[in-house]
Amino acid sequence: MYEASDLIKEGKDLEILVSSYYQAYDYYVESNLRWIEDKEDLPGKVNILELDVLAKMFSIHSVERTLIECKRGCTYKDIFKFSGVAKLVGANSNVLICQSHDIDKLKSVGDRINIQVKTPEDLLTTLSDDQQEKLSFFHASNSTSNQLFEKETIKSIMTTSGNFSVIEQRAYNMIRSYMAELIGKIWKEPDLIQQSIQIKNLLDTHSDYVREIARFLQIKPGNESSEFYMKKNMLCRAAGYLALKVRVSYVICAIHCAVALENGVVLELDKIQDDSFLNVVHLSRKELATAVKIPQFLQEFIYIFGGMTSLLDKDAYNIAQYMKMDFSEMMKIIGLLKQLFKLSENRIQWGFVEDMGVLYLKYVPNPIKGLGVINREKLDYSINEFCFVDEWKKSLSIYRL
Amino acid sequence: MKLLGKCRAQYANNLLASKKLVLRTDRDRGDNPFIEFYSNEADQKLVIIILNNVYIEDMTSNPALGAKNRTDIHFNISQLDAIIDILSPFIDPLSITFDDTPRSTPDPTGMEYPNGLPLGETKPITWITARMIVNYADKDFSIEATKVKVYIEVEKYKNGNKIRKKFHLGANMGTTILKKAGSVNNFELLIDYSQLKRFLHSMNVAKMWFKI
Repeated sequence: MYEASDLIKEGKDLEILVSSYYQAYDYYVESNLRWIEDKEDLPGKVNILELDVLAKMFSIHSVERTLIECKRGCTYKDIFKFSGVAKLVGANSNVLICQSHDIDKLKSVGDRINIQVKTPEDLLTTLSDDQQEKLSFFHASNSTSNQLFEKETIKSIMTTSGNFSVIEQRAYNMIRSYMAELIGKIWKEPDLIQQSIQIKNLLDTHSDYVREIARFLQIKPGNESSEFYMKKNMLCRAAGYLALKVRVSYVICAIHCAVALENGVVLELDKIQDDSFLNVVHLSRKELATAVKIPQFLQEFIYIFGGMTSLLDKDAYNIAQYMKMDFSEMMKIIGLLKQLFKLSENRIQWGFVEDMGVLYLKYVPNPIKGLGVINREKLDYSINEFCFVDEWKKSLSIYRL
Repeated sequence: MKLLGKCRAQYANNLLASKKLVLRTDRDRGDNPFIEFYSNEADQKLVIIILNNVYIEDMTSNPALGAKNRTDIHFNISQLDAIIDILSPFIDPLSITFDDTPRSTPDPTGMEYPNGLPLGETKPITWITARMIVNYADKDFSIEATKVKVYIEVEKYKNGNKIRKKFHLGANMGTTILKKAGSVNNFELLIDYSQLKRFLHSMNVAKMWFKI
């Protein structure tokens, strides 16, 4: 049983814990969100508010959204502020996770304004042994994921002086700016069609994003693969990981569209010019019971298993068993994803790579692969099929777990 | 260079359409080729040499058709075990940065066999870059590809009542440099140390695949 005090040392830790908790409950989680608006008649953007976690539960009937705010030292002011944010976001349910001496009174206020107020301890006591283990896996990957984008961490790994050069600082700003579109604007777009168009614009304007950053940084040689630059340079690694997140968002958006359409929601698909996306929606509608499992599958496949599986031995069986799926069902999901990626292949150039009997999702950073092999070891799964275990573990060793 | 070990090889073949020649050795027809492994610390390269009973032949097929200049090397399972036994003690302790970038491997059908079909079921494993030299010593020339993609695959096929399993290295040598020959007919492959973990693991993957 986890003790909240062991896991929460600073403000960000509570968000990581809560994200991991909802992931352990099979929600698809988006975190570190911002509400950003363009300034009227002026260049630049206004950062209106910050949101901690948006958890989505996909089913063939609906996509239920839960908005979660994390607050250490919570006050009445915080709960009423969150109430206003919740109205703006319009999620199906709203949860405030907080640590406070007045927790009983806050819970009572929450009941009256339709906000569930919980403590970290309330969360942790509900977990089964399997969920606790899953939480620990997600906790490590969420923490590592955050550090992959964290300015101070990137600087400390890249530089001896502790400072970015001018060009590195600009590259970092470019990555943050790209990220701001995803976590600051796209997620809050209520119209799924507009959301898909916005993601496509992001993809189109940065179709070869890692190499774009590598070129900007003038990294030599200039003709290598994205994965090469992701290994060589921490800013390129962040860029690739961000590109992966954007592209996963595109698939998730397509599945959300399929669920909406199958449940009678009218979507103006004729506004979408991207045939690949339309094909993804079409395929997902035909295989909806399988397609709704894709968000959770992708989340666990990337963050627990490093976005890779060996096709030679029992690894894929083990992963299916872990995800409580039949092997055939998981392979059906992989098959569907392959189809989806193949349809998009020429344009967005991402998907799976099969190398030495291992199926890899492209753009998964090596430290996340390192976690994938460490988690397999904890689960007593074989890692002999993976060639570069030592390299992946070494790349993880520079991050705080 | 330091000799790491030596074992039997099965088959090596270079097709050289521009000279209508083939350099070939094949244990199935009674040749007794060997493969030697050397480490070259100065250049950080593994040097592989296939030699003994390597003969120059006239090309019997139409040189205008099919592959123009390619090299194929085969090992069977017992030879693979012997190679792993030689290379593991050398590669495992190497403390260098290995190239771990995942690379998509094309289906060999149509790539490795552009104008034909494989003999049986094939499975692409990976590819490595290497320098390849084919010495036509008896004709006083050699060909060289300085940075060639060597595709690694496995193949199962029926030969009479037997299922044959082979580990296959194949490279389209493309533009090559004609230069002075070595002293004997042979095949040389020079692989950067950074590629060796991948090369060794590809053999273990082949063995796993043969078991499936």
